[in-house]
Amino acid sequence: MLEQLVKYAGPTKPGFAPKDVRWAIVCDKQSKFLGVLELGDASLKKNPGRTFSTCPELDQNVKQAGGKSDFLVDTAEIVALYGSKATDEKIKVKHDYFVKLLQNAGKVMPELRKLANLLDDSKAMLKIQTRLQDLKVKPNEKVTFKIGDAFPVESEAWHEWWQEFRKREVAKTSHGNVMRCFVTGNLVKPKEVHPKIKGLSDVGGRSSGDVLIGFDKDAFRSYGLQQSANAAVSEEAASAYRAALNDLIKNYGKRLAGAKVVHWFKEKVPEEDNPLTWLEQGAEAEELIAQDKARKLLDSIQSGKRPKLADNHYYALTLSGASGRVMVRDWMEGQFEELVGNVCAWFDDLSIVHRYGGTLAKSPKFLAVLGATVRELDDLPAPFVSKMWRVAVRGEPIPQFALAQTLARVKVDIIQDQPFNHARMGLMKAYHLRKKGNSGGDLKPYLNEEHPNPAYHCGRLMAVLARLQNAALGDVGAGVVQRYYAAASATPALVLGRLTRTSQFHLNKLDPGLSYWFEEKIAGIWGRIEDNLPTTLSLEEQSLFALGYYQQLADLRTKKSDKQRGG
Amino acid sequence: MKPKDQALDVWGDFACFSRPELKVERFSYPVPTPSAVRGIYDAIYCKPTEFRWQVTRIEILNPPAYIALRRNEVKDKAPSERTILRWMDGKDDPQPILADCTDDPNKGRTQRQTMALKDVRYRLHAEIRPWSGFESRLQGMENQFRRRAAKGKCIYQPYFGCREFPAYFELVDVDAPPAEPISLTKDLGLMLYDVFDLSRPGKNDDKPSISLFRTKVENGILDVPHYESDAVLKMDWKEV
Repeated sequence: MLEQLVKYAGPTKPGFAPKDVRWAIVCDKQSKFLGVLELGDASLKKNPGRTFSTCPELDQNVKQAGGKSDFLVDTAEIVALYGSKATDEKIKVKHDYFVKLLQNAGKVMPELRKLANLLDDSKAMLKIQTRLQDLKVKPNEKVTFKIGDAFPVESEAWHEWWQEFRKREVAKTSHGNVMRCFVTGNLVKPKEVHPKIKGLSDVGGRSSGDVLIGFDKDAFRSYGLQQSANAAVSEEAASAYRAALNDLIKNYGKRLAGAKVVHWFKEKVPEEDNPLTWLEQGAEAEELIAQDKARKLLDSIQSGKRPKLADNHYYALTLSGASGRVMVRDWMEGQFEELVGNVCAWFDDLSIVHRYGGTLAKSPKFLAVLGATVRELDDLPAPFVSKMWRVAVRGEPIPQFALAQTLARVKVDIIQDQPFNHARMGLMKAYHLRKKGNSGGDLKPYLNEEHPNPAYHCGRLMAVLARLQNAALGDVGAGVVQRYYAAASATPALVLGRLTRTSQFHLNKLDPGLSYWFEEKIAGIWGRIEDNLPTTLSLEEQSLFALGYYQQLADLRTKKSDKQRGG
Repeated sequence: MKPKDQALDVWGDFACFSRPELKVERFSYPVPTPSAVRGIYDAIYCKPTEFRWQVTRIEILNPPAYIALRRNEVKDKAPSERTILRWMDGKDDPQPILADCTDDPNKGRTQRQTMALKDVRYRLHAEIRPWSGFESRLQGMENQFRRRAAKGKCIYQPYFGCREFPAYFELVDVDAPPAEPISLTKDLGLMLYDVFDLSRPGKNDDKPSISLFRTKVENGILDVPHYESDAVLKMDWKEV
């Protein structure tokens, strides 16, 4: 996993990291203070500022020693002694360190020495502080400098000096032995404290970041090894995996309830060919439904039209935060072709007839499928989300937990006469198709009158009886479904015989033609059930009952002309 | 005399062969590490001063499937054996490990996740490698192992990576039909080989010497290189 992340990051230099900076202290070329500029899109309510890709970054453990600040970019309170804590001795020491760094870097970039002088000038500092206050800058927001039209942080003139300086600082706190790096296999001095991963604060992480590799408690260490010697990783590899994860989370991370999913490919894949995006988006605002897109792409790969994609690999990570640590909930990798096949199968298995009959319902997006199992998305447990993502990406069987939850929601929908949710019905169908030994028999998106399981036909019978009552009496408030669905789906032998007998009263109220049609329909279904009317139905059979009910209703709503067209 | 292959069928409900880089929020490798397999053999028959086990092959009989477990665990470790013995002798007062009611951020409990494997089954292969001076007793050692394993005897219950995941075992007869591994072919990258130096007899207080190897599962079979081979990346101090 780390190896793939390092490859994704490409060559990176330790001591540099991208940072979002919201404010710039603007000076002229003589370092005379001109004003404070808001960077990024100032019209945004939560403006993150501008991203500078190669900002200097001092290691966490060096800063933890106390009295240290970053170089060129830091918070407003440290750079300009601004805010309520400005008089705090610790902040003053950090500010002095910030100024000292600018002085030292002045050897290679003279403008920086002038900036240091500016920060030493109390009158200029007062002006900066006043201006920051006018603009309502928060003390913990990041600040850098702009000299004329240029940002010193974008210059490369200080890079070499910074690398040397940082190396000396890190060496002071480094004590480990040489070990094998778990990423490269080389003999290296392991990085003691690993850099933090950002962007998991909405899934249990901390806003200051979380560590992926960290052994800060006694119980986390083994064999007397200290800190990250428990899993030796070189400084370069640590810097690279952090850069990769930060980039993936920031630019491509998708939050699914309590977990964040990121994915990437060995070779870059155009967004229009990315099957995981289709999974996330479903058929929303798409001309071509995701299912068709996946099928077309799979066909083109299998017919050799897209050799580059056939050789490609995918990697997918599911992450959460926990007590300042990154929790890897899942790691998947495999051939691109296999991924497209699995996404295709996901949509195929979920496909179900539209509740008003005739056509197939649109492919649901992944979050809608998850939402099918709960009343509100906030109720989704993170491990379940992670498992379902794996089910979709790897083509695995659907857990029974999902079926139980979905069935409960479906029952509520039916009894309360709510419109059917396509994702719910599709998920139940997919459960049976993916189950070992395929307990659902021959489930299809449309009604299957040849289905071998009597539970399915019991559901069908319920739908026909409900329709018959409606045809005979119109809206009666609490009809046969509201009164008997729950009992019929659990103990059909107790209920369905009685309901069929009492349906005679409804048949008598209809035109002879319609009455004959209903009679034929009911007799046809009883013909399928034969003598196998089940006494009780298990959870899985109850879901077949629900599917039979749904597909029969959709079939009754399908126009004759649609059926003839093969709908 | 050449060591003979000693095969075991092992199975269990759960397994966690933690990746060292993800050992806090544990995430298991999809296959057992050679050190975990060595641990299973050691649990059945072990004489560290006379021989060591060399794992040669791991056959995966059930496809790797993960399960997420979440538990409250203490942040503290049990003290050294010496300290515990002093407590037992009444020389010192026992110090409890507090799960709650502590303000120290390094004590108490924390929730930790384990991404374990479920329903695992492997056929393991290993050989006895006598240390110098014990070569002549190889046959006796092998017979003793087979007698013990055939009767289900073990020094302690073998386990799959973590002690809470017991491994059940059965000796494979010499003329037993070959196993049927799953059709998995995958490059797993660098994996932990062992935590200790296997080139010499070990002691309880040995310092760890972590070795790695590049792992490739082919048709459900992981061929494990011998510890002495160059394929095993060891702590070679000459290279430093």
